[in-house]
Amino acid sequence: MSRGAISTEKLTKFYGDVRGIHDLDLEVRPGEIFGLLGPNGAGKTTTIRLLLDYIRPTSGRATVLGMDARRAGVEIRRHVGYLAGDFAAYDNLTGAEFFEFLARLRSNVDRAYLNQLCEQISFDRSRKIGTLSKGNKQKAGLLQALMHRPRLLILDEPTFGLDPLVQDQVHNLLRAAASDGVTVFLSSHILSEVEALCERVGIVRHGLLVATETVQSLKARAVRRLTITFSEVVPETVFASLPGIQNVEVSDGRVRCQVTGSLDAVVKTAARYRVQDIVTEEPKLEDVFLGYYSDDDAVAREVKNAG
Amino acid sequence: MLGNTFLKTLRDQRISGSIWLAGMLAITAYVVFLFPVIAEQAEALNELIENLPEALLALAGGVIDYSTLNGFLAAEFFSVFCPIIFLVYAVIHGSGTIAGEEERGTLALLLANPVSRTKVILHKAAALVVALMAGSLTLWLGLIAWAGIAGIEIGAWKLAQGCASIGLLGIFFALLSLAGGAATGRRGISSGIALGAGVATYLVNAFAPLVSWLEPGRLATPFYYYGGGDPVLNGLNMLHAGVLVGASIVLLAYSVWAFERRDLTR
Ligand SMILES: Nc1ncnc2c1ncn2[C@@H]1O[C@H](COP(=O)(O)OP(=O)(O)OP(=O)(O)O)[C@@H](O)[C@H]1O
Ligand SMILES: [Mg+2]
Repeated sequence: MSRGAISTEKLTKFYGDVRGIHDLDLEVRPGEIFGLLGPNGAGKTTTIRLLLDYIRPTSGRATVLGMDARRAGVEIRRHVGYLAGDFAAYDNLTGAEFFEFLARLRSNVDRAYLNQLCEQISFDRSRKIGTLSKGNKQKAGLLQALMHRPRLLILDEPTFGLDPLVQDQVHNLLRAAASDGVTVFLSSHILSEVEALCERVGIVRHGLLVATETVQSLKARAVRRLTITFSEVVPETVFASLPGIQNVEVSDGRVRCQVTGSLDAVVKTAARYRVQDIVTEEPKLEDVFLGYYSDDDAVAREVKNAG
Repeated sequence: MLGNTFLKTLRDQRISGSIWLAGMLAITAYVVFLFPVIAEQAEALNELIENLPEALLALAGGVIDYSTLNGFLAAEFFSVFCPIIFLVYAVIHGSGTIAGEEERGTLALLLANPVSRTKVILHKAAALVVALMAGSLTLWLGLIAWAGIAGIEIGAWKLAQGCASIGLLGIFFALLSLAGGAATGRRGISSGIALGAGVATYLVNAFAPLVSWLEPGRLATPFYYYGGGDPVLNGLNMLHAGVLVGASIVLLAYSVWAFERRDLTR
């Protein structure tokens, strides 16, 4: 039996010939917020659906809260709150009826806590779910995942498609749950989201776990694109030699480059000249992978070795 | 009506189910009040029927006697009409309840709770059985009530047995489409299979008396065990009813087995 909130051993799922996830070894510690980060089709949803016994592994195994995912599904789900990526509720029920139905199904709902949560994120339970906006529907999904005070939350892209305001509300709810000792396992394809929320991150791509990192070291590895506009001419060579800098292009007093990790050296160097504007782009997920692979051939090799 | 999956599944049928039952009351009124007109010409009709070739008589459902209400119902109502309205309702809801929820994505929601797949499917099957029994009961109540109002003599006990038989046929097809949905998660596939099987076995059963090589195939059709108008005239054949019940239990067991072992599609 494993102590981890979630632990997988060579967990593998193939859909026919299509690889969902391959040889996943993952350990989520009790009480942490763990993010599974990866682009579309990486295998995030596959992993989550395996953990909840919606689909069965081709090989390998998973334990959730110390119990076998395959054999102890009912007991696991008593203590897990789950929000699906494509969360669908009963559109013809009102929020109140919806929660009531689920409360009877799972008979371990803390109604006072549910009321408090509804207040907190101002969720209107009198309306039919079918008439709610995407954001409010997602709130209903989050509330049903939280209302029985689960020990573990499993959330598939919980903020996908939400505006920043609602996104913030969701983040706050998750942080509050985590500070109550709830383990949170979420998937995302947005780097800034896992950076803001998670302590550790697993990076998946093409069905493979590429790395498991703390958010700090992920940030240190993140590749940022930077454009600095000067109001004077700067010599081409000053930037090219800085640590962590790549692909420097200089033209008409404008410097474009990619920086890995800290921006300190670049900013201090730039400060020696007259700066008009600095624009940094949010690191893209694909750029994060540049830190791990120089090209897709490397991925292909890795896949070959794994398979 | 939200206490558990069984009640929730019944609640999901409350609108279409009410319409179905109300429609049944209307149609039973129609056939009962039509009967006196037919009965006036019963002698002529019976004479005509006696002179029909054996084969055609079999096609029309066997023994026919238009001079009693039970005879009239057996010939028309229970041979053709009732199987259709029970089959359609059974297939719509049998395939809708698992496969429909799966396609809408709400099955994942149900199964995020501490309930097993077996429990979900048993609750849903129970709701189907109850709905179809309600249909068969309404059919019986409608017929005897209208006959009472119209002052027509009716064999209520034999009629009850006929209604029980159509209920069993409905349950069989509901569980057949439930099984298709449990095995595939696809509503189109499960209702297609169940409707196709319904039409095909109906035709085999209907034409078997005329076509010698079809005759043995009859035993493989649910309509043979349903008995058409026969239970309304002669009472339920317990062996035949037992076959329908047994086949339904096998289908339910298969549904549980298939549903437990496969990947959910959504
Ligand atoms: N039911 C299925 N049948 C066949 N292939 C599937 C199925 N579900 C997923 N896949 C494939 O498995 C791979 C992983 O998919 P998965 O849904 O787990 O990715 P994801 O990381 O959740 O992506 P997204 O960010 O788009 O949600 C993809 O190539 C996908 O096409
Ligand atoms: Mg996904």
